Amino acid sequence: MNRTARLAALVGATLLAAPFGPATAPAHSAPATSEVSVFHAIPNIVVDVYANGEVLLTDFEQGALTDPVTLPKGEYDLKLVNAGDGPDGKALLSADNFPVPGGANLTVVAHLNADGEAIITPFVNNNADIAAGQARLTVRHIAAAPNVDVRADGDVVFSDLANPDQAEADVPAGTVAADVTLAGTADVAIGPEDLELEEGVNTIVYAWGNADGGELALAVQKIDGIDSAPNAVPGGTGGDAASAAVGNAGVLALGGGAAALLTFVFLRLTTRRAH
Amino acid sequence: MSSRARAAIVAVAALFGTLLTAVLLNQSSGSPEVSTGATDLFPAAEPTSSVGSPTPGSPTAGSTRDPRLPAEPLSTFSADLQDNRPEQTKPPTRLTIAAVDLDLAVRPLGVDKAGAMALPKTVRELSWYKFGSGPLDPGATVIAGHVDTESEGIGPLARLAGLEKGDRIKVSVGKGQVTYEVDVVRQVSKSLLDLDALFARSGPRKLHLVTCAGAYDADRGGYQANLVVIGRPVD
Repeated sequence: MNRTARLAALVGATLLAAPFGPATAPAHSAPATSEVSVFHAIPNIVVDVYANGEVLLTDFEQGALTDPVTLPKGEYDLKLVNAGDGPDGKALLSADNFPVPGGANLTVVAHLNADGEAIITPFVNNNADIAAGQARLTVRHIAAAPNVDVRADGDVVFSDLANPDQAEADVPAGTVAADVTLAGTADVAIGPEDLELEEGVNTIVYAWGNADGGELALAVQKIDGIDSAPNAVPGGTGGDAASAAVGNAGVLALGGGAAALLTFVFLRLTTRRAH
Repeated sequence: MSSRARAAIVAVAALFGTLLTAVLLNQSSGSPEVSTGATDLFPAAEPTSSVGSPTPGSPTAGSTRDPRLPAEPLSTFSADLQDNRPEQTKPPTRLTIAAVDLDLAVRPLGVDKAGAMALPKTVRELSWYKFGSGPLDPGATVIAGHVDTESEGIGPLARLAGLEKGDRIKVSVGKGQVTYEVDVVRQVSKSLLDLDALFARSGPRKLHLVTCAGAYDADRGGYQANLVVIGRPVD
């Protein structure tokens, strides 16, 4: 089987299908790097991962995730072997000319397809800013299992998700009871589990494992630093304090000059986040 | 006012701003924890403790590793849901300022329907922005309340304008207390306020105590300015 061709097609499809694209990319210049994490979701094997013949990960256990690393855009030859087998060991899975675009945030996932075969799927993580008070929920079906629905507090939020599809929505921050059911049914495959959807965080939930062995589980990856401030502080609804001679007249007398000053101070005191 | 006089005022204001900023920067903790989202989000791989030890298949000394790849194998951690429960921020529960005779309960609130910071309806309670930092965390703890309401009239927060540099603000957190010293008391036009800075979730620990001030224009959303008090922890 030609895994490389399949993978390339998959990469293309995933990147094209992503509704957000490289959200952090300035329009005027194509970024030369991407942030890449790796998630191991193939049950019951421990692997070493090689990229271009060099070791990238050792003793990588099922259900484990890496922090993101910055990789220059380009093509990489990936190879997974049983832990300790070395760069020339028998490939459990490989992908030559694996494309890393510029300006994206990716998670490369080794997992089972719906039929239980090991595959590699790159997912694009949406790291666009999230509105104040909201959380982003991303769900990825990467288990050897049929299509599923994902429910929060009993209501279907994502329906008929196939392996290896993802779905996402921005929702009010808070805790929900999440479960995964076989699509169109109330047959619960995973959960329910309490899922904390933190404000300003993209919580990526993976349904992974193998339905055959009854080994299905939820894993999470969190992308933070994409929160937004509220758009104002209200602070009075009466108007009385404006007409009354309140407090320190000196402060009020400073007027516009003081306003400009404080804004200046606020600007200078903090480092703006760069995404 | 002549344009010359106006220019002079702007120049003086700018100079004052520079000085004030310099003072504030010196007085802040000076810790290097101010960081950009980029480095927080995308830390480099942690170096392993066994530098130089053989790793399976690592090239022998003298060969060149692909410079595009990290120098060391990546560190990994469990992605299991149970191993990734968020840490709970300890909320502030009470704020007292003896200098202006203020003693108010603080409630954790988020965002209102318009996307603004949610506040209690009454002038006799304060809101802590629960999605931001708490008093024990890096970044700004934002506590705010109404200066007045239509039904209650002017409330105790009107006295914040009487605060002076050096006054003490005490904030209860659990069974403990964090004491702040007032650094700055300023009125800021709402259209000019840097909200990202006001609600900063990283950087030095500080208190941003906010209410409304300035002219009241019902047709333009009410008060046109915020009164902002910046407190620096003195523990």
